[in-house]
Amino acid sequence: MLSVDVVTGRGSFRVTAAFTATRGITVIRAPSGAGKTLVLHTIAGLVRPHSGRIEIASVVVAQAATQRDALIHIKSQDRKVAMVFQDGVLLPHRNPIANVELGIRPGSIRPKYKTERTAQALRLLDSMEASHLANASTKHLSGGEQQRVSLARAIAGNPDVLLLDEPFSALDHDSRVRLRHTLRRIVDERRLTAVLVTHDSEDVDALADRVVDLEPGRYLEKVGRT
Amino acid sequence: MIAAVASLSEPFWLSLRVTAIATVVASVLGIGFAYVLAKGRFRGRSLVEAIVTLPIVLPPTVLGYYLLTLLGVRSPIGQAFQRLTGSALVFTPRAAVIAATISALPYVIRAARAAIENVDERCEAAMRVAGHSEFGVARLVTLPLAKRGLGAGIALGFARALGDFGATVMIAGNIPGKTQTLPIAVYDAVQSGESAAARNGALILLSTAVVVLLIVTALTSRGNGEHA
Amino acid sequence: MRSISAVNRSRFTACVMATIATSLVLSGCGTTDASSGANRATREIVVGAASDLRPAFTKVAADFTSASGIRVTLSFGGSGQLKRQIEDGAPIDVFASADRALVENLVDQGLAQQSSLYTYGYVSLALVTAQGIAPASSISALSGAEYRRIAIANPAIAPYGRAARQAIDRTTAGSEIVDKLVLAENVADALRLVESGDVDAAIVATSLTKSTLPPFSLTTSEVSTSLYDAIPQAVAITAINDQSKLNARAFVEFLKGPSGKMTMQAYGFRP
Repeated sequence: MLSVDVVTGRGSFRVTAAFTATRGITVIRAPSGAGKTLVLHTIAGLVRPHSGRIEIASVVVAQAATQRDALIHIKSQDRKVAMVFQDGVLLPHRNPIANVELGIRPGSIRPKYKTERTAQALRLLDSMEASHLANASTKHLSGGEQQRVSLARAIAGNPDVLLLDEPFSALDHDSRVRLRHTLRRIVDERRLTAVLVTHDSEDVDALADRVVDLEPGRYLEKVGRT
Repeated sequence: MIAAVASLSEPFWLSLRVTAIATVVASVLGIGFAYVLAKGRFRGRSLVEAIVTLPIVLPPTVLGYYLLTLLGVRSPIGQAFQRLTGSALVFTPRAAVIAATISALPYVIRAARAAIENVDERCEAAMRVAGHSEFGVARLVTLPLAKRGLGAGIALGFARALGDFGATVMIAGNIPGKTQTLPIAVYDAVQSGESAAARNGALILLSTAVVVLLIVTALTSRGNGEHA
Repeated sequence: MRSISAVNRSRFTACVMATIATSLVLSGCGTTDASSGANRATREIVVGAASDLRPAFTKVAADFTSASGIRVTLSFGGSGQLKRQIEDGAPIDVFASADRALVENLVDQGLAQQSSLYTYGYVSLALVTAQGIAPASSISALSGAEYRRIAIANPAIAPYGRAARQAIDRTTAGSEIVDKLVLAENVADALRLVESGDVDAAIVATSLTKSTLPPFSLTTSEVSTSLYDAIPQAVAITAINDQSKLNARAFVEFLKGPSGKMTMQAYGFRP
């Protein structure tokens, strides 16, 4: 579970975000320029909030200092979140399977041997219907293919929270529809907590278990699909 | 043997050795500095940047003068070095390495910094979020994606290190076989009227410079768009 | 995003220190045999000599090496420049200056041996005319229109420049000549300018015009010694370690001896 109640921003820009995301897909609906990417980056620990706190799986990962509260900032590396960007943001100099392997979180549960990690990465690509891309040239993947690999990489880290930043907006209609199905299936199979920001109402209709509307200065929470 | 400038082979090999060491040192330090300058947020960053860029704009003789003041036998550093090793720091091949390194450093830093800043920050963020340490992110993402720019910087640094005259002659002198690098040998040959040696030495330096610039152009012109 | 990408500064500092240490070790490894005074081959000396000595000392050093087996490395430069290098710790074992005063100054500082001080000659000027220009027989002839530019060493730093300027000032048409002067870094540089034809005439060291190195085909004439003060030129031992001092002593003795004296006289130096 993810619980967010922060004011964050960059420079003089401030966004207020207050919502809770539980298992399933929480869609944050917002027009362009509303600062939704900033909110995701704050959750991921790439940006520090000006005030408030963020909890992931009942652990406070970020808390702005006040007279009452101490400053808490757990590094991005230790938050157990994963991010999927608008375009794949894969490493162009590594092939897709290596990209997925790099998504496996370093630490105690990471398979010790590279062959095991490769096998695990291949299973993840397979679950994204992308195993045929394993050794392709990353630079030459289509948008949809990139997002499948990117999604596999995100899942590889076994995240507590999966953050998706307009993951379908750069795709054509058909890939968009197919990838939505894949995402739905993965989230349900793995019982993930996913937060998806979008300005596309089709995403909301197709995927939202809950919808959070961003308005200038704050987020309102309301019930969507049940 | 009288080590006049009759033969260019001694200055050539000395230059190559000095330049090789200086290039390695300037590359490691330069990429380190470039990384910190590109990514770090700390007080005095612009001051650090100004200082490491100084050798580009300072006349080499001024650079040599300050290096001599800083490392000479009467300076604390020079005296400490002499106590530790029993030999002076200045007017040795070591001093030539130092002069070449300092001259090359800003060229490496500038090219490397631009290349590092050009790397898509989201690529780095994705790896960071996936649990990779800052060191891991640099190793897996930033440096590989910046490699063309780093290569261009190293090539420029090599050329600058090979070509240094002013700073080297100030802190290393003109001692054949010990500190007389190729550019100094060319100067010496011109002074003594050995026109053949001057011509050959100049030709070696000229062709090296042309080759290096071709490499740099190749690296920088095809480098863009690699991580699109 | 960048604001939090904190770079581990202490790790960076450690890397910097390690690199510097490695580089010093590396540059030491490759070069200790040549660089450190203690490890230098015991049968070797470095002689720092004024640039007017290049032809003469090249011969003296070759003769000395075949007589003694001690290798000589010659480092030529301006006398003032070499003096400064010795003050800054350059590993020069013998300093041969174009001006005795500079050596005396080093003796006063304790950087050169008083006992080894030896005057090997006096500044002697020669007038050199470029190819294709009517040869000038005396300095006063330089006021003629065919000599548009005239090179001398920089009087502020070079003894030969000082003497040349004095000679010009004592000539009747001196002020006309002064307007045509080109100041070279040292006396060898002045000769190079006239050799290449960049200037029409130059006042240089006599010793440089006696070079046996081909091709020296320019017209030369002696400058009357009455036109400039006698500037004595001296050599002294500046070596630091004992073995180098012995080798340096042998070189200075050789220079004073019959063979050295003969060579020096052949190049126009008279004690």
